Amino acid sequence: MFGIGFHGIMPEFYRKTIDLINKSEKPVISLDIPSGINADTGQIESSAVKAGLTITMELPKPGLFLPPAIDFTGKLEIAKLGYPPEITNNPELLINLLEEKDILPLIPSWPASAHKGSRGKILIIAGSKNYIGAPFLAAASGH
Amino acid sequence: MPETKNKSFSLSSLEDILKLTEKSDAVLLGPGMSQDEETKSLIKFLSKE
Repeated sequence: MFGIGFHGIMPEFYRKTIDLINKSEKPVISLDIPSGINADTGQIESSAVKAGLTITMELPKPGLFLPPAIDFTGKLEIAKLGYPPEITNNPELLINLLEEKDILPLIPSWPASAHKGSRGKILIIAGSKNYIGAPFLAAASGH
Repeated sequence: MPETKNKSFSLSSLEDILKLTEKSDAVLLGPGMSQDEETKSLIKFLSKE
């Protein structure tokens, strides 16, 4: 219904249609982007199709990975359309996406006999008045 | 640890912090250090060290 150029409020007819799709309990596949998502920001201003699978054309759009849209993208597949490398390798279009597989190899494994003294010491300089939650989580993940 | 009037890290805590870093294998700077200007200067200084 709506593509990557969509932004703003959609007419009621489309909102009702999207509601029907989302309540259908049928497999939902979106092509390029689920209707209703802002492709650049991930914002959903009225309503959006909640896809089980999104097949995006050639280049993934930033909005597919950003909240709140990220919960509407579902599984993401990329369909190659045969864009020339001048476009697909254009540094102005490339954005880095940090994924679990990038982070996990950086976390060292330790022998089962490791104890708190053998894993080094971290100094956490963090927090201020009213900002105590994030430093707590940082300390917990260092544990 | 000395603090600013906004209850964040102050520049005068620099020396104490540097002493602590010498005993550490890794240092995490942030999160939640606030937008206080004095704290920002401290963060800039510490990240250069």
